[in-house]
Amino acid sequence: MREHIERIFFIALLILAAAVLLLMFYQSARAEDDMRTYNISVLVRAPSDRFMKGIEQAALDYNVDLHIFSSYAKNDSAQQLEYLQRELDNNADAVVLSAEDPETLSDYLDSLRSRPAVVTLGQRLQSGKTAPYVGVDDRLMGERLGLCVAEKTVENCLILCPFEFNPYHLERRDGLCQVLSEYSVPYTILYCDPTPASVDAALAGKHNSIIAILDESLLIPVCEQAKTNDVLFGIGYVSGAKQYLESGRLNGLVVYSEYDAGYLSLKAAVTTIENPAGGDTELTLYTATAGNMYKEPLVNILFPIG
Amino acid sequence: MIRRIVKSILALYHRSSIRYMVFISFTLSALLTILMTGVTFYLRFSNQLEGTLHAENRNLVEQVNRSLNTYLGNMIRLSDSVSFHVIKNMDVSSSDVSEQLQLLYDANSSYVKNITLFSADGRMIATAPPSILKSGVDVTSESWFTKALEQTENLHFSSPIVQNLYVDTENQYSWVIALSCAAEITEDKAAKTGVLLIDLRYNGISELFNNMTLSNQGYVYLIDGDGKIIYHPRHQLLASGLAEEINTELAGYRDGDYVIGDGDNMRSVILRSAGYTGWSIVGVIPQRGLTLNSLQNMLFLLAICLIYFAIIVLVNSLLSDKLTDPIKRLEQSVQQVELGLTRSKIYTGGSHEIRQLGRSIQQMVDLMRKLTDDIVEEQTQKQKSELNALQAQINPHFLYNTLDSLVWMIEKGQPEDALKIVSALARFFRLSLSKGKNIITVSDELEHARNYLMIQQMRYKNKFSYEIIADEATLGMSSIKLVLQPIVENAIYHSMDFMLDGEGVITITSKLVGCELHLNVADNGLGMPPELVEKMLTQNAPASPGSGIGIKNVHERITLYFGDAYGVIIKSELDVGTCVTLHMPAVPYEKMEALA
Repeated sequence: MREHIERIFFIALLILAAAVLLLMFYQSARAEDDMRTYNISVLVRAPSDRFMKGIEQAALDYNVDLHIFSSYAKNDSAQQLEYLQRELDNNADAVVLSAEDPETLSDYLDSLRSRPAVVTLGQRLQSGKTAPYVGVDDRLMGERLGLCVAEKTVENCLILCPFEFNPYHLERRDGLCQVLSEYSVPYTILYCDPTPASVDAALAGKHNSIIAILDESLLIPVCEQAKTNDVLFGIGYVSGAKQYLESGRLNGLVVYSEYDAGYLSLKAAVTTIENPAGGDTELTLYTATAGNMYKEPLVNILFPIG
Repeated sequence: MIRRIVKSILALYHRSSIRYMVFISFTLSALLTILMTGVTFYLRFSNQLEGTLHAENRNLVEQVNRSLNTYLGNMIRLSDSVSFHVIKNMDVSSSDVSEQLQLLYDANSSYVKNITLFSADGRMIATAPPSILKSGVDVTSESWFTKALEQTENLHFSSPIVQNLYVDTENQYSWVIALSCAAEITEDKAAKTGVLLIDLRYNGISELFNNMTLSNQGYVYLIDGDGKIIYHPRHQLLASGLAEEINTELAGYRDGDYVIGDGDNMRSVILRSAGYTGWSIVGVIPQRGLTLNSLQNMLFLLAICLIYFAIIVLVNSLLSDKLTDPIKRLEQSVQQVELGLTRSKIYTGGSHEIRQLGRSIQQMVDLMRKLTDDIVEEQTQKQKSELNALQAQINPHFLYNTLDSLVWMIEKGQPEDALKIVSALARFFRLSLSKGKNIITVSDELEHARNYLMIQQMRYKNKFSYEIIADEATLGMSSIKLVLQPIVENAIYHSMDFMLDGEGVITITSKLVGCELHLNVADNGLGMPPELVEKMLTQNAPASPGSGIGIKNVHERITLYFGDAYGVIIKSELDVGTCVTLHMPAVPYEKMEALA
């Protein structure tokens, strides 16, 4: 009887040891998972240095093998979709992209059988098959721009939109127009290319106004072509705008941290791979002026360190 | 409670087999050894590992500190060179200070963004490389400027800032650390105070820390005296609020090694001051997974201990079997003997002691068996002898002759004699049976002999006489029954038969000699030669034609009952007579009864 008990005890010990070893291997596998390398593709046309710094820091932190595609033409959603398809076919774990045409992209994603790990930058898509989005509400940007304008004594506000008008611009314009209407500020919407000649033509005869620039691509040409009495406000930041903001030529810019956008979009992509039901991230908007551009928090937003 | 536990353990101990106790003892001692050894080595190696890692990390931090101190020393020397070898020796209004500054700048351009000399009112006097101050810039409101004038004896290092003093047509931006100090300048032959500004490139410091990783994904960063970050590998994330650091907490700490936080957030922090600046280098090493205390290591250790323990249990089980199996087999063979199977072999295998024990028990069993056999043999002999004695008593010749004598007496008209013989015969046979007892009183044995003598005397027509003399003290003693009659029979047939009528005398005496009971049967017959006397007790003497089973039978029966110290002693002399003495121990009959 006692020998029988001893035998059972011996077998129980072996089973327990096996269970502990299995648990250890499971822990080891989990640790390896923690060290897993993610293959993530980024489809963003003309990413800024600030955005790239954020993406690169996130790639370091989350062990990401990064593939960046930025060379497709502006508003060429077909080419963007082609790249997206190719990356998904090449077993990319996730894709981060800023949709050239949100509607087209939504339709494409809806046509897919399964839900891909896609993180969008900028505008939220209508498709139910996207992963979380990271960006700012363009409408809010427009509204904030409207508030900047409304603080000035305004007889008329010129709203400059690019000819290549996209849904982002539409949202911004609508937000701006809504605030201007609330403040009973009259406004005129103008369209132009981001070239000095086109800007000059658009502004001809309309100087001595407050100009609200809806797209960052128009910032430099407008700053160059605007007259001294023009009061300029804009959305977005480009490196060339630094001297104009410093000098006060640009009275105010509605900006957000592109570094954070880059970092958080890659982080969201990694999170989506593990857990598809992730949350959206709205970035904070700031108004940069000559007085605060070298102070925190804007100094870190406009000039990321490292 | 404790007493109850101890009691139950002792009870278990007493109930358990030796195999089980050996197994438990071996297993517990092995378990204790494993645990003690495991824990000791684990603690030792864990401490050693921690110590080694910590020493390595400390060395790395100190190495960075040395590099930083070298760098800062170089910058301070640069500042001193500018202050004491360039500015001090020149009249800035007449000399081209910028040219001198340019030389120093060129030699240090990898670390220095700008070298600029300002007057106390904020006017730029000289700069290298050539730069234009932005319009509207008022340096007198900058903290590096005011600090330099407030504390003229010190050098001042600012926290990282974006340089925004000079016109930059390339729209680039540079993070710099402003090194400022008061400078004695001579302008228009008048001694004045100015401010020397050296913008140190941020990457001059960041390169010292880049790729500096400590163990377990640790990192190093730099803070100023107020805890504000100068360099951090995740500086931008901290600025964006996407990461957290305890830098402000550490501002009040002195140089040393600390452990901060708890649980998964526990971190080892190494703090070292950098010279000149009031800055501190902070090395942070997360503790999670650093030491042997990680879950994986604990599980591995536990698995190893369990496997070793299982092996030990198996080995102990086999060992216990091997050690105790011989004891068990010995026990089983002893149990066989207990059950009466004394012929079964005792197990004599196993270790030396068990074999010895087995052999000893075998010898004991053999002796026991021999003694038992001897006792059985003895009892058998006794019964045989008694049976023989009994058989002799109903010897047909004796009975036949006696009955013959009876018939003759009745025919002869001697009924009284016949009655005497019949009575004596009845008493003779009654005493012969004695209700099956083997031990009777001396009185009854003498009575038995008397009856026999009476019958024989009548048969032999008073050819002999007899006398029975018994000490009173002997009458109550024990005697084996039917021991006198064969001696008397011998005396009658071998002596009295050859005597002339009336001359033969048979005397039976009973007396105590010391502790012995002596029953003598003496006759004055022919006697026997010594050779015959010797033969009487060793060979079966032929039964006499009358009735008699021999002296040998009597001798055997006495020695069987009472031992070799007792028996029959025959003394005989030819033509004189024979005296046969029966030696028996003097044991009162009641005592003998009680023993039976």
